[in-house]
Amino acid sequence: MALNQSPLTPRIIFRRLHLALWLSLPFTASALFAQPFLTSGSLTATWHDNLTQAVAGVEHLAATQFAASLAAEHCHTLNRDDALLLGAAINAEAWSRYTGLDRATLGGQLGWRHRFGLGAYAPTLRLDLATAVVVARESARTGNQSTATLRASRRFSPETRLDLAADYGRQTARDTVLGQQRGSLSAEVAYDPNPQWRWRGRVRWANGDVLVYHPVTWTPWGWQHLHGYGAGYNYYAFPTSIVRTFGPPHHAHRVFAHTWSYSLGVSPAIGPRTALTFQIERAETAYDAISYINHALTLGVAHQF
Amino acid sequence: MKTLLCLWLLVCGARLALAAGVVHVVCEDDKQQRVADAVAWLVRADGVTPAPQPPPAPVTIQQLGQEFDPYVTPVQVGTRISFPNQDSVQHHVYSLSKAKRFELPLYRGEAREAVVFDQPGIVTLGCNIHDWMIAYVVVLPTPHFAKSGADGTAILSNLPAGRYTLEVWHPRLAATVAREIVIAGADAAPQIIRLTLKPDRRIRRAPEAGGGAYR
Repeated sequence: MALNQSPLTPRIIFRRLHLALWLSLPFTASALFAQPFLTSGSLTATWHDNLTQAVAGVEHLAATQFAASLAAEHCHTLNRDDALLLGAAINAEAWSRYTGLDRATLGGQLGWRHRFGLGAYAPTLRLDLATAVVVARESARTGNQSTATLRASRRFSPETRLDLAADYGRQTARDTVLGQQRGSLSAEVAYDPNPQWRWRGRVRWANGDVLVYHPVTWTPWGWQHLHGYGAGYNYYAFPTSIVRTFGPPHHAHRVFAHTWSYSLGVSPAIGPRTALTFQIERAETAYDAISYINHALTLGVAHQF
Repeated sequence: MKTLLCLWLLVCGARLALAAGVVHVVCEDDKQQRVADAVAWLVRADGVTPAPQPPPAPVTIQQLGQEFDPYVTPVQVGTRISFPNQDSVQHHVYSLSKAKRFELPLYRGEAREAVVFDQPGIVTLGCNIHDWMIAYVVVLPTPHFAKSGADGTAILSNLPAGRYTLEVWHPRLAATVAREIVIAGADAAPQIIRLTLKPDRRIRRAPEAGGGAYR
């Protein structure tokens, strides 16, 4: 299935700006009238070395993802230990080379937080249900996403906090091959040697759908993998589609894989409400006897209004 | 002549007793930088320390910009403290300290009632919603106390002559620093106190990309 990118006509740009204005109104009102919503925003740039999830280096495609997000969260306390959390978030992602991946999401979040006792050192359990509408430049990727996250947190000292999380996410897309379902377990340690600096280390295991891409060429026998990689593996046992996200046609195969990822980050605060973030991540994904590696470098800034 | 001598001695004694001493306590760290928010107090070493005289009106510790203000508040035993919330978001003030355990469940605006701090000791305040919020109340069994300002100086005044134990506390001190001093008149030499401070261990407040406002 060949996919087209929507042309950015002035009419479309105007409609998007109009939509963005309406969507930003609740956040602006929240900030202006000091309602009990905590509003925060972030800007990040993430360099990915292997967008195609390819095994062979010759098929690796790298690009930088720029993301902006604005989120507002309201905490409604039910009693001393329990609180309901209501949130809304808008995100926009733009890619440096493969603009078909550009997308925006608008979503809401409902959470319940239980604290086992009083104070900063009491263990916390938090369940979040989030859903969002995804609008992608490549219309086949447009759809919805929903996530359920259960997180247990415990602060052991002013410097050290441990988070254990389990989440399950589902994303639909107009091209059903591009939709995914995935679950993960993660453990994260945050260490703040002082109030200005934070170091974070995270280990995550994920299991579920992954989209892997192979460049293909047309032959009398149909679309064939260009470099022959994966020829010994029956990718066609998996749902497959043709995408032009990366220019030349690629097969998108939705495979079932598991991923181990490791990340290390450092975040210097440049004020009580603003912090920078640097993070490096390495992920090893495997399905059957095939495995590949991804690296990602992230620079960002976060601010709480 | 004997009567005159007795009268002279009486006058001298009265003057000595009435001479209100002043002590300037200068707090410095190991790098000779002045230290703010140190609390200095005096306890009589050669007699009875006057009983605390808590003020009739409550002392105020407000919550502003999702921080407690002031950070350190010295009070006498029996002082009432009110905790008005000036923020648009709610706070849940609590203390788990032995000297005073209490909590003020979630509120905005004025707290329902002032809290009486009736035991001497260090009381650490927190907010059950915003973990980085922290403040200290130093509850003292003496009316002679002061807190150092930005210049590191705490001024204790109206001190009757005598021997005292000077004690200094700061949130980043491992233990209270104490020394004995003598107040003999109005002009006592400044007391320079060297404080070995621990690293600042406050819970970090700054946000992170992708992190929710309430963890």
